[in-house]
Formats: sequence, C-alpha cells, structure tokens
Amino acid sequence: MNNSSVLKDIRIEESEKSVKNRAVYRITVLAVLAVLCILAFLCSVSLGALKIPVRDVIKAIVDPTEDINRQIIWNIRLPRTLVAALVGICLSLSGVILQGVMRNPLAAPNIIGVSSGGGLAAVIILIMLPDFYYLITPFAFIGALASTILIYLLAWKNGIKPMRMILAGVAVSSFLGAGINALMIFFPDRVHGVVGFMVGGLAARTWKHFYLLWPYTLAGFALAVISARKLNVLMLGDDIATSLGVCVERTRLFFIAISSLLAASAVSIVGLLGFVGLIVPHMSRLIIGSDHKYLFPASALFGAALLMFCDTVARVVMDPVEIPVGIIMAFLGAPFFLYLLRGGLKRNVEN
Amino acid sequence: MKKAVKIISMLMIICITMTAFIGCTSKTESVKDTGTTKPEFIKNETADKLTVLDPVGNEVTLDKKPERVVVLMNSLLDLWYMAGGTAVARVTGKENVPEAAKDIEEVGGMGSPNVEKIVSLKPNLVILSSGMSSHREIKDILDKNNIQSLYINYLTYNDFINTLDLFTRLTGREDIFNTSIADIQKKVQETTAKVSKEKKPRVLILFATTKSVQCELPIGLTGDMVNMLGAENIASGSPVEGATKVEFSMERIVEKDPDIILVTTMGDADKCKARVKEDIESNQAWAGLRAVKEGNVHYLPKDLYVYKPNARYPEAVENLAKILYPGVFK
Repeated sequence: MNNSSVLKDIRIEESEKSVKNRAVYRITVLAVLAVLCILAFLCSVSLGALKIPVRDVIKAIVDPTEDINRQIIWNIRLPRTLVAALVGICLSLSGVILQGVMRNPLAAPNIIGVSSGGGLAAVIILIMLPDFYYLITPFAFIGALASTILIYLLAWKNGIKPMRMILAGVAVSSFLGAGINALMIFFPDRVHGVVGFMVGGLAARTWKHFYLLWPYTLAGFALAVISARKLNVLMLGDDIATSLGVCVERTRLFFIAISSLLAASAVSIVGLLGFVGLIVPHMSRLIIGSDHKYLFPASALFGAALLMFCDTVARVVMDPVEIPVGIIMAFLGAPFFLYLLRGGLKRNVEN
Repeated sequence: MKKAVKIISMLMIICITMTAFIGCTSKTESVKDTGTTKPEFIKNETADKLTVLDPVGNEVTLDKKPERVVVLMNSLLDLWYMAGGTAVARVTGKENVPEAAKDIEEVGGMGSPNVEKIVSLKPNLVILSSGMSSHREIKDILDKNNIQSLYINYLTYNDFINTLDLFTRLTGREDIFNTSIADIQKKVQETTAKVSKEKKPRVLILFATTKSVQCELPIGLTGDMVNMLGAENIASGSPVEGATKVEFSMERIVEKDPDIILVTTMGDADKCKARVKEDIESNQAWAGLRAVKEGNVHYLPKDLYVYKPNARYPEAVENLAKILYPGVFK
C-alpha cells in the first residue's frame, strides 16, 4: 500500500500545477501539529492526580522556592512530560525511517529487533539478577542494538533486501520473545516488575532519564531531517536510486543505524512501547503525505503530542493508581488510527 | 456521513475504555473471595471426609489423611509439613521448602507444572494455588483422572491461619493447630496488642526499585502485616482493591508525605540497599519526602516480606513493629 501510494504521491506531486498550494498546506499542517504539541505539553504539566490551579503551576515553574507545588510540578510532572515527548519523537521517527527504508507499511521498531532484544535484556536483569536492577537501562540499550546488528548480519547476502531483513527480523524477534516468555514462565513469582516493562510506562521518570535521552533524540532528529531527501530517493526503488547517484547499501545502513539508536534509547528508558512507532508514522503520512522533508518533523510533533496526551490520561483516569501509558496509547490510538485509515482525512491528502 | 463515522469512532473508544474498566472490576471480585472465615469455608466434617468451600466458590469434598500428596507451591508445601503432612512431590525452588521435603520428586516449576508427571505419581490429593492460571488449567485434567485437588489462596496472615486450620483437619492433626499454631497466634497477638494504643504512623510500602512506583496494598503480604499493626497504608483505598500491588501516583505520595517508607525487594536487600538509597536521594522528587530526609526508609529482607514467613510470622510481625513503633521497643 505504502509503496504504490508513495509513488503515486510523488507522481501527483510532479504533475501538480499548484505545487505552491501543497507547500502551504503542509506548512499549515506542521503549524497545527506544533500547536497541538504545545497544548498537550500544557495539559500534561497542569493536569495530574493533584489539582493545581494554572497560576500556581506557572509560579512553581518560575519560582524555585521549595514547596509542595514546586516539588510536584518541577520534580515530577515536568521531567515526566519531557521524557514522554522525547520518547514519542524517538519512536515515531524510528518508525518513519524504517517504513521508508524497508518500503513496507508494517515495519516498526520491533521489526528490527529493538523491542525483543531490549526486552530480553531487561527481563534477564529483572528476573535473574534483581540485585543489578540499576543496569536495566544500559543493558536494554545494548540488547536492542545487538539484536538489530544480528538481524542485519543474518539478512546480509550480497546486500540487504528489505524483505529479507523483515523476515529475519520476525524470526529473531520471535526467538528472543520465546526467551522472554520462558523466563516469565520459569519464574512466575518474579513477573511483577516485568509486566510493567513489557507494556511500557512513564511512572517515576525524572530529570535523570531526560538527560540520558535528549542527546540521542536531538542527534537522531537532526540526522534524519538533514538526510530526508536521500530517503525520498531511496523510496523510488533501488535501481532508480542507484541511477540517481545514491549508494543504496550504505544509505540504507545509515538509516537503519539512526532508527535503531532512536528506538533503543527510548525503549531502554520506558520499556516496550512499540506501538507508537507503527502508528504515528502512518497517521502523519495520512495527514501530510510522504515527502520525508515534511514527514519527519510532522511525525516527531505528532508522536510527542500523542504520548504527552496519553500519559496525562494515564495519570488522571484512575487516580491515585496509574495505568501504564502503553495501554492508554493502544486504547485511544488504535481507534483514532482506524478512523484515519477509513478515510477520515482522505480529502485533504488528495487535494 | 463523515459525522456518522466520527460518532461511531468516538463510541468505539468509549466502549473499549469501558470494557477495560469492567474487566478490572470483575477481576477485583474474584480475588475478593479470599477473606473466607473459618466457619464459612468448612462446610461439613466427618471422621474421614471434609467438605470445604474453596476460594473460587465451589464446594469440594476431600478424603482425610491422604497418603500421596503433590503440592504445587512451596509456601503451601511448608504449611502442609507444618500441619503434619508429607508430600510425594513438589515444584522446583528453594524458598520455603521444608528440610524434610528437600529430596522429594519435582514436577516442574510453579508456573509450568508437568501434568503427566503429576498424574503418573497417582496422588490422592493435589494442592493448588487459585492465584496461578497454570494451576487452574491443571484442575480440569485432575478432575477427569479422578484425582482430588484443592485450591488454596494464600496471601495474608488470616489465610495462613485458615489454611493451617484446614490442613490440620485434613491430616487429622488438630493437636498441632491447638498447640504450636496457637502459640504462633499468641505471639503475634502479643505484638499487635503492644502497639494498639500507639499513634498510628503513615506508611508507604514500595516494591523493589524507584524505576517504577509499585506500592503494596493492605491485601499484600507486607501490606497485611502493616495493617495488623494498625499503621495507615497511604496507598489503601485505591480503586483496584483486588490487586496486591499497584502503580501509584508519585504526586499523591508527595501530597500524603508518609512517615515511614518500607522497601521490599526481589533481590538481596543488603546488596540493593546502597543502590536504592542512592537512587532515592539523587531523585529530587523522592529526596523531598520527610521520611527520606529523616532517614525513615527501611529495607525489608525478602525471606520474611516477599516470600511467606510461615512459621516465622511472629518474627516478621515483631520486626515490622520495631520499625513502625520504635518508641515501644526500646
């Protein structure tokens, strides 16, 4: 679907007389998404288990004197919101890149083994070595990257064919997934901490996690936006891309590396929130089209807004109990995605 | 048309969210069945038969003094031996396995017991935990093979006493219940009596790490002991009463500012201590709590507060009382 619609898109673009109109539409969409993102941020910071009036929220952010509001806004809500935004950006960018590189609409961070590799590493720590729980983040990161490299090597045969990489990814993921399930079955009394990681949640994320995450997000985003044109060319197919002077193999590896870094950093901090990486790129593509120059910033904004919004819901709905954001994500995101898929915004895209 | 689609999709969202919550509540009810009291769960008793109401609400008639018994959870195995019983097989694991049962046959892990092996041992009674889905799956097969089986739900101190009551009736050793078990009960009561008039501290029970905020509710093992000692669990009264642990709002913790924080961990408490301490103190949200500032964060050893303390209940309750009421135990 993606492949043909993308080609169609590009052809339409070329034949379009009013290219200018299109650019205006896209910039408007980006602006709207940016506003949405800011709204979601404000919602997330000002809503929570405790009702704090907006005036006090602003005061707590500006005024560093320690009191309960400052404690809650500055030390709990703000870092958590920012981590949510970064994770949203990382996972959705990773998804966009993978769907582009693989030219497959089902590609997502879990296809390149990020989820299963990171998951297995984390579960090994949580279940077998609970004394070393503080190693979860670095271990999950290493596990995620290692399984991506493994999949890449397994799929290598005089170059990488996207389909072969996807199949290798599915195989390796189910292999590692079996490892996770085996551990959970053999140690049923220790599963408690694991479930949270598998669903993905943002509880208790603080400034420390924010500092860990932002360099990857920024670097990944910058690299992706700079090389957006290359990905556009790559999507025309290997032959055309080669004839246009792009080294297909090297470019593909470059993009896979960026996307696995982005996804691995996010997964190691919040757990397996893979769903974001599958759905946000499609939503953004439905709204803004397939030109990666616009698609990258659009998905980043959309991913950040969606995750901040869902996390707000996750904190408020069952106060004082929190629901892992992955669950809210799936409940709210999937129907919305289906609505878009059924043509909710079709008219706009085809104009 | 477009509007219709919009409305339908909104309805869908609402429906799905609703089902999620309905799912939660029904789960709550099934776990709530645990608090059966003694006269309720013993339905009928004769010289060689015992009819009990099991935790899932079925009446089960069992033969007394079963010869070949398989126990699929080691904390229950421990109780079975305390009640004077012996078993022919158990599940893998080291915690709570009584000395006498160390070398008996193993029938797989608690989460994945081997049904064929269990059936081939021709047991007269299989003791299951109703909280384990794998045990519920086995129950049918056992029924078809005419093997008697019994669900136990063991979460709290009350369950501990009730289960021993039931087990001693089955083994025909009510004398044990009236002597050594009564002794345990007496010691526990002495401890709870000592602190009954004290000012109640407000307590938070945190599970394992600061990476997530998992708090134990009054129905959990430590939560139950905290409750017995009259302290106030700040996580109680949350909407999912059925669960033993919930992901709790950090904001609420800051708001309620507990007097004492108890930390239970799956790992080795001593090894984790330094690390958890560092984590807590480096995290401004935690460091601002009064309990952290005043050094009232306590790490509980897993053998008494994560695994069931069983015969060591008096010790577990007393140690906890010393932490909660330092003024009383000087």
